[in-house]
Amino acid sequence: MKILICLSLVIAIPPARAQELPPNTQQQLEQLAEATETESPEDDQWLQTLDHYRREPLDLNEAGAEDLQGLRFLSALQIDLFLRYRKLLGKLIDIHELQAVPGWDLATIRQLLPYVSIGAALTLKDDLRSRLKNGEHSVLLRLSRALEKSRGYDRTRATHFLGDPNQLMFRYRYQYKNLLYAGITGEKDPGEQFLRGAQAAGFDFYSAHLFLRRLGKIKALAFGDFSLSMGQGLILWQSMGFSKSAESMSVKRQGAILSPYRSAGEFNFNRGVAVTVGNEKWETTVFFSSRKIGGSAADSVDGFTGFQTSGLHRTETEVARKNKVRHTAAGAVVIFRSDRLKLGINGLIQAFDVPLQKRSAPYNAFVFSGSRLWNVSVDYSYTWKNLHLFGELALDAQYNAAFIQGALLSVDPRLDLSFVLRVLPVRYRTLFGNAFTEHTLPVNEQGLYAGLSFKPSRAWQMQAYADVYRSPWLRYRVSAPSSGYDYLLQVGYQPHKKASVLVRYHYEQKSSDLPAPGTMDYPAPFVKRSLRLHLTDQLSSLLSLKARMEVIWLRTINEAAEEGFLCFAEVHQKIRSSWSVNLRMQYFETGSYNSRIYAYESDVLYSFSMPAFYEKGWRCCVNIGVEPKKNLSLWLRYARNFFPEQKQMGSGVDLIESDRRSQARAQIMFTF
Amino acid sequence: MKKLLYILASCWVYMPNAQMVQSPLVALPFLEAYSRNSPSTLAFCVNPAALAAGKGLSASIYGERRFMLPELGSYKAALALGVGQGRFGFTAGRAGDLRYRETAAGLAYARTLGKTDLGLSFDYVHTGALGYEALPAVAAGLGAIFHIKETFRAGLQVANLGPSPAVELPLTMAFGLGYDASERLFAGCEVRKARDSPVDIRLACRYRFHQQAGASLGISTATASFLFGTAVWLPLCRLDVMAALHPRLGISPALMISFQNQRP
Repeated sequence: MKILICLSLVIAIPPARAQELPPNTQQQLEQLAEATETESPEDDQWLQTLDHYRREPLDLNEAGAEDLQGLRFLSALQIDLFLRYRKLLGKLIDIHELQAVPGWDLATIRQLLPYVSIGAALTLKDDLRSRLKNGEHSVLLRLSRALEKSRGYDRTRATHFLGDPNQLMFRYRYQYKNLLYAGITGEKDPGEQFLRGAQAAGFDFYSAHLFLRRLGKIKALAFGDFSLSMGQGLILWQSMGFSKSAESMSVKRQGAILSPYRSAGEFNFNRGVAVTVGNEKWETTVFFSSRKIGGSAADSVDGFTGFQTSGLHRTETEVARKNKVRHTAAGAVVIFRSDRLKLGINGLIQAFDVPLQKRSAPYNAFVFSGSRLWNVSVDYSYTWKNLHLFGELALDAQYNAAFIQGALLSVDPRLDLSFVLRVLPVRYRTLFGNAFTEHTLPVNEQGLYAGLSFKPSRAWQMQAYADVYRSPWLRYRVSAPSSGYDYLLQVGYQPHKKASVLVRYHYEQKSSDLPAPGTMDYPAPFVKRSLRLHLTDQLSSLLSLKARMEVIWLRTINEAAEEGFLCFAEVHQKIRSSWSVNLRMQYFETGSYNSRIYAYESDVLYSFSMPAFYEKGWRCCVNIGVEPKKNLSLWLRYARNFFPEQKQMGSGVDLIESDRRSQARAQIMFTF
Repeated sequence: MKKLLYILASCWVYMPNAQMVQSPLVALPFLEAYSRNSPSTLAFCVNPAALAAGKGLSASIYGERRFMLPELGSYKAALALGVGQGRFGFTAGRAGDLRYRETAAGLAYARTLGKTDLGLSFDYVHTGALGYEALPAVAAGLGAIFHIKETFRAGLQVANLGPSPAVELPLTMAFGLGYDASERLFAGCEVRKARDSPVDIRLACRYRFHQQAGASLGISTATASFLFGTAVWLPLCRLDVMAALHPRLGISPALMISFQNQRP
């Protein structure tokens, strides 16, 4: 009876906000995870932005290009066509008018609807007063813990974790629309100390920001931590930048130059002050940043050999690398805008207090070493009828030039094309560039990408791309100049808004070193083909289903072909519109780590993960969201991997002597 | 009703010959599980939820001789009948010869819930080899078919669930799609994976070029076989003559006869 009473109480509580991304966006994230091998990205700014717009929709009559870019659902051409439509015909009267915007199809509008509205503009006076009074405060606490202890927690070992297995995150945030942001974030990773030892100040990582937009001629003003994104990412891009995916038209890097940094990631941001001033035509951003970052060092090197990007400070060695290097950066961006043209000049200078000296290896022969680097670039975008051109030309301190040029073309309301040409010499140097390329850094690559999006009817859509590229110089684990091909075809069928089926075929050929004991490593072609079937179905107003089956075939010279397989079914249930449960069961079986498969997973609010699945096993994952009061939300999550044929998993300090790996997570958010 | 269920359950338990473990090589009519147009009774062997699509009493008998070898012959029979809002199905099969044989019996139940068909199956499998102790196994399966649109269906299946102390049947998962382009043309595909075995992708299409006759083509990647078939529809009866062609191992003929007590 008590259980029944408890259950009925839980059922009577309204559900916590769900945060389900469109299937294609999930695919973009999966491909990003595959490219960067990052399973749990800590950059949740985009999710925060979406969640904010879900609660306070973006006013399309006031939204600028940067606001629309921040949603990441629209191509550059669609944004440009919308802004021109609004300028020509005036403010929108009704949300249904979006169907009249050239280049906007029903699928795009459906994706966008939860986040946008049509409203009246605020006056500046109301605006200033409202910013300070009418914003939303929120406090978020998150606790995660792996239930099986890894070898690192054994204190009798020479190398062990100094802290406990809990992962803690705290965030206070104040936000008024997209005009004022202020907040502080603290995070402790598993194995790190808390309020003692190396982390006597509490959390291992703190981040704070104050960010204002649209203060008369000051378009943006940032204090504390902020992100910067310039041009097409040839010299700097700190926002989330997708790589190739089934969204074949999302090839242009787009986003605000300056944005507040609100994530718990410990590496990819600036700390200092930045300001953007300007009018409708001209805009100038200047910034200064100085912060300490983690760096690894070899004994024989007087400096540091690489960045510590993980943010993990669990062992004495990792703690010793923390804040080892001071990174100082300053720069400016000048932009000119007219109806059709946007022209930007970007400059960035970066310095370290100790020199960066990469490990001596042939593939590192041309990478940056030293303590000071500058880059400048010119970027542009131009729209002529249904053609949108964009590009960037960048120079480094040795006057090596890198170039990227793209085009988006809407040849028919049903057919869109995209092209990207990149010429990125091996001698070109950048530290934090992130352009639309095959490899992580925009260097040592020449390639041509062509994408296609075809929507023959409302129900059917097809996306495809082909990318051909070569690296004139060696790369990590590729001991010779190499080339590669990448083709993708995806057919989607969505007869109505409640169900969709996607079939995706992906072919990729790239080079990778073959292990050759006793001789020199040599690269060989490495062919990966994959087939994915994905189904989403809204079975009722309260129950939805998502299922996927994916197969990967891998073939390399001199090695047996291997296969990877992953299958999951996920149900999302709202019980009597009161609380929500999300349950996923998954089976995977792969030949080795090489045929691993990434799968996007829902998580608690502002969090998602794309774990790589390999070997043979099961995964079960359940998320429960409850909103007992309007301003209080709770989330619980439990995930378990079970490997029936393994006795241990992981390696080094992360080794777990068990056939299972489980994680529990709880999150509470209070808004006022 | 209880009496009927008792009789049916007893028949299942005491059935001497049972559903074979080996998946049919000539799988052309089985992909019709994802078609709206009168799938064969045996289609529920692919996905138990397909049982819900039929009407009244129906039965199918299937036999194939793999690569023309008597030792690799396999036979299958299925019976389906509607009870209340759901439908029960029974299968029996045998594969192999006296030296090595697999026999199995199966019971399935399916019903339609709005635009979703759900099915449940139980199989008893008996593996025997001359001179060795026979190994029995019991497994359960689940299936669902989603009517994305009247002409488009997607299905999921998990088979061989449950522990079997003597012999463990390989856990099998399948994801299928079927599209009825018209009353005459159907195309289907299925990705099927059994644990520790390569993934099998089956593609098939059927064209009914005449009211009473049709032809099918398909491919199965796991066995690298091309599939061909013709079908003749007679009043209350359907006859399928099929074959699988392996480039090196040769031809595998198959025959299926289906009965239906109501006109489709």
